[in-house]
Amino acid sequence: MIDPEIQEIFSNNSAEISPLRSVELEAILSRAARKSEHEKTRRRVLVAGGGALAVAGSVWFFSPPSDPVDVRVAETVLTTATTSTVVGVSPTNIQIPEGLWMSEMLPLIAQQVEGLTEAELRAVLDEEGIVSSYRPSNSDSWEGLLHPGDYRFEGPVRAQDVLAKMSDEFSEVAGELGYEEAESRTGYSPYEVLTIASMIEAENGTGGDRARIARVIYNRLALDVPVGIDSTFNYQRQDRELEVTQSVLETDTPYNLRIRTGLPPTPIAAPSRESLEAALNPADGDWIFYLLADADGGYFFTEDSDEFLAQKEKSRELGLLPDAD
Amino acid sequence: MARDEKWIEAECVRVYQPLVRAMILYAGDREVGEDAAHDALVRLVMELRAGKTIENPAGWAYRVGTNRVHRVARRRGIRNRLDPGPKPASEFDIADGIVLRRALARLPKRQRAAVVARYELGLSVREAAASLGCSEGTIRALTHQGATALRADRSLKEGRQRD
Repeated sequence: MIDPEIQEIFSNNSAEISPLRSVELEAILSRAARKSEHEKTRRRVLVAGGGALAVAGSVWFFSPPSDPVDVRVAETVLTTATTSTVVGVSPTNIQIPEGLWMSEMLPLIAQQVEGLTEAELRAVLDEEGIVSSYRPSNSDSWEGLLHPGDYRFEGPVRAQDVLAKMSDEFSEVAGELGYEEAESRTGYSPYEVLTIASMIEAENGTGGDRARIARVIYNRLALDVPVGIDSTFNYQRQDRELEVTQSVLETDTPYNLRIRTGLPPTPIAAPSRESLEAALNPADGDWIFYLLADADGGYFFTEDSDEFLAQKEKSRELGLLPDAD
Repeated sequence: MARDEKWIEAECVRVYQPLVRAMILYAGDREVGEDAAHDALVRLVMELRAGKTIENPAGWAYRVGTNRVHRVARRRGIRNRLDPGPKPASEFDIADGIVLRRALARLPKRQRAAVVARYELGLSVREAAASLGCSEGTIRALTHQGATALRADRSLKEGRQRD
């Protein structure tokens, strides 16, 4: 539906755009011709490079790459290669599950892209080779800012390409969900809401109770009591199997949400779209406690500590909780 | 279908002005918008010469141009080049679309892409969906969200009151 009020705003824009002049048209036409030629050559070089490598592999295996012999081979293959022998570079598919840490995500990307290393990916991030408007200027963490999912790349893939696409995807998803209005909707900055989303993701990877967990977190923040989520310990120690012992609980770090109030300094996982959505749109309720209540991953929510303790007994009897606290 | 060069040239001329106008609004910057429009036309010529059928050349070039704008913006490491600062808008800014560009720069990019496609390029919902590669429902939602934000934008209201 066209909104006449908006249409009028656009009509008021009377900026002069001159018609396409013939010199400009000439430039466009010849640039297109040059570019087509360039792309054809590039494809031929790729094929020829592959051919030369194959030849070098069997015949001149010991020649260093700068050896004139190899150059000649490459040239020969190049001149004989025609478009009919062109084989496209096969596309690269990358799959990144939700909820990963950067330390898990980067090796997984490197594993799926031929010739790409984790070190190259890290270098791009460290040297600010990509940008995200959601990243606080004083932060050196990229945690949570690369969106998980399935990505496909045609042709050769550089570290920068993958990371930029994942970062853009995050901005796009966050933008669609309304993260730019996070402050006015929740009272927390977009980065803080992202941090909450990452905690929901880490706590409740697959369940349907995300919006209620979000509410518990907001309620606890509002009361200025520790949020009490334990998955931040796993993140801080970079250990999925971490046993939350007394000594872990008592060690004060910015990620110890049993001791500290407020949020951890960074997100603690790459949240799914569902968790991002839940963090921005918490359910209504006064709950400040939640815990696993059935074997299917269902949670029990309450604001009453007696109810909470009673449920804790039940859940423990069902074997859903560790024996000791 | 074989394309003769005359036809391709005529297509360029026909698409050029609406495309530049839309790209400037999308980019928020005249120079970036014009460059993106030129690059998109180069692509369009290449595709047409290769015999590809493009149903809606303006919509197709618009999509290419928006991608181009993102690449430029990423290289420069900036999001919105226009400072939406407190300086009051002049009559000139309104007529020249600068106020509108600033207001659009405040929208998330997909909303901005949809709003410009619908209101500036005049694409139908179906055409805009084909151009931006998403469903018609998404176009409707994005356009609605974008239009709602523009309607609430005070800088645009001031502009209208002055008219």
